[in-house]
Amino acid sequence: MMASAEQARFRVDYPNSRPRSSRIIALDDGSLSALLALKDHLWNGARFLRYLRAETISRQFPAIAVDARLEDTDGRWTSLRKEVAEADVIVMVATAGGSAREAAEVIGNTCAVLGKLATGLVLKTAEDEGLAITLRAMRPHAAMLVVSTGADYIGEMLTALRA
Amino acid sequence: MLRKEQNDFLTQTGPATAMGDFFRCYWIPALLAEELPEDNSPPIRVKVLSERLVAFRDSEGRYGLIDEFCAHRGVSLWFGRNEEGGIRCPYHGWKYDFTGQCIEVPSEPAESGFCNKIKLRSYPLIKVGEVLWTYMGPPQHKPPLPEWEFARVPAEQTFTSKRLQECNWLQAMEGGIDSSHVSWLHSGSLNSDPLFKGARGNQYNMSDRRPVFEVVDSDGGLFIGARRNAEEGRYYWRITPWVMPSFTMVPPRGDHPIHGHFWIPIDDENCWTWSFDYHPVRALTTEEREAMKQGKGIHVAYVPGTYRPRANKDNDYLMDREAQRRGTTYSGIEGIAMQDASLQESMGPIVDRTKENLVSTDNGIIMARHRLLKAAKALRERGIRPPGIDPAHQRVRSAAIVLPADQPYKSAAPEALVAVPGKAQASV
Repeated sequence: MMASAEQARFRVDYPNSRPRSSRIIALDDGSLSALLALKDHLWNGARFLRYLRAETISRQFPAIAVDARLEDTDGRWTSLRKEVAEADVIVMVATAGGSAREAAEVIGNTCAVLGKLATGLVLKTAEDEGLAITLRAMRPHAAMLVVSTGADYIGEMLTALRA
Repeated sequence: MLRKEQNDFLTQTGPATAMGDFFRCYWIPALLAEELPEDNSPPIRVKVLSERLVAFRDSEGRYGLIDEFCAHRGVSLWFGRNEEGGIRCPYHGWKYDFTGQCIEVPSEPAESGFCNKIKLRSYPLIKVGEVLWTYMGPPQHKPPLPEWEFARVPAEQTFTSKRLQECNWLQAMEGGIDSSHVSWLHSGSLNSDPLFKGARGNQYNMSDRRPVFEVVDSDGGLFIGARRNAEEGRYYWRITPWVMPSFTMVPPRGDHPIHGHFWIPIDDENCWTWSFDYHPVRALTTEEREAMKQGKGIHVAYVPGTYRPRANKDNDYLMDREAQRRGTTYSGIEGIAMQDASLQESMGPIVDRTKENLVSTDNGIIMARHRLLKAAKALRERGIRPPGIDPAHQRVRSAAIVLPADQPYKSAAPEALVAVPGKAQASV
């Protein structure tokens, strides 16, 4: 039984997890600037990305997105499908009132197809303006949705998740 | 995970620590009123926030909470004689009033005024509801009296218990905001516990075991919403408020009383888990009150004469492997309270959070730690009084509601999350 300080000292000391692969995706301009402020911190391989646009099956079926174009913080393009496939942790970041609907849907669907869970983080100001719209857009696609008034929460959450 | 220095910061609550100062901003539960039932009751030892104190009720009904040890030779005043207007040390007869002021030193001439120079540290102790509350911070910052609804409804509508929990306060409290464990650890109790069973909401719980969570900042702390599918186009929401420093409420079920907790550090390796049940608009029934006294719901049965749970670490919490195999209890431990406490104590007195591997459903815990760190640092560095002191922050309720799928719970049901006297809880 561990329930004494003396016994707790005998907990085996070793790294009990391997590094996670994390993708943090800004869905709008407001959230992008919050991510850019974090990108130079020391992370365990987290990749900070920006959602650009959906890739559709063809011009004939513009409503059916099969992938999306993302951009990393160095301006290089990458594929949503590839990034999600490689990731253990996927976080979508949006600002309240931002244009998150399409991005959340495409990312959420990609996660569902690949058997991954997406977390949604909505940054809001003191007022609730636009929050309901953003939450409505993200709710069907996030297994966990967090609304925070502080942009500093992104870094705190990513650290807690070993991103 | 937390870095070691963050873990130390949040888990140390003794005098002069940052979190100790933080807790000392609030009125916190210190004793049950039943522990000092009448004037001149025997004194009670109280350890809270790593300070050893003694509580007594003098001949005029005034409550005192003072340094446990006589200023003369350090004798414990638990041995004291509760006499007319104060407590007297049995060793040499020094006597103290409810403020800790020494009022008699028999060996010195009364006219010398020597006793005026002796004063023990004391804290105010007041009765609100069935709880004696103390405030251990600077007198000039004493906050308004507690406004928690469970302590403000008439006595026949409320029941409060406390139990010793043999681990740090934070890992105990984190259990209260970790909604995702309920579908596992407590899965055997929804249909059997008399204080839970029979609610329509239980059906939503049982038919959708993978809830989706939404965590939202509130002025006093957080709301943590767990969403399950209900009828077509609607969600069943269970909403848990967390208010600083350590208050949570469990979402209600049907017309059962609402329940919740406070976690108050005794020292860094033990805490009191305070558990309450109340109904906003009706008296508790005889059956409900009896079930609570017997340790049902979130309460426990005690080792006689103590507030230590009968199932405790010394008897392996009365583990029943057969019940575990059958699934009547998921962990093999009987009772919701001890299902939680047994696992939280098993982490060790202060869990090493550098070794944990949190996942996205732990965001309630992550956010609570973040808010606590920020508030305690703002207090220490800039003197900013933390959230949860304002009585408006304390007038909260948990809720269990069904909402259209496109509505955020916080704005769709704001009235459900506010305690309004005489208004029933929002519950299905």
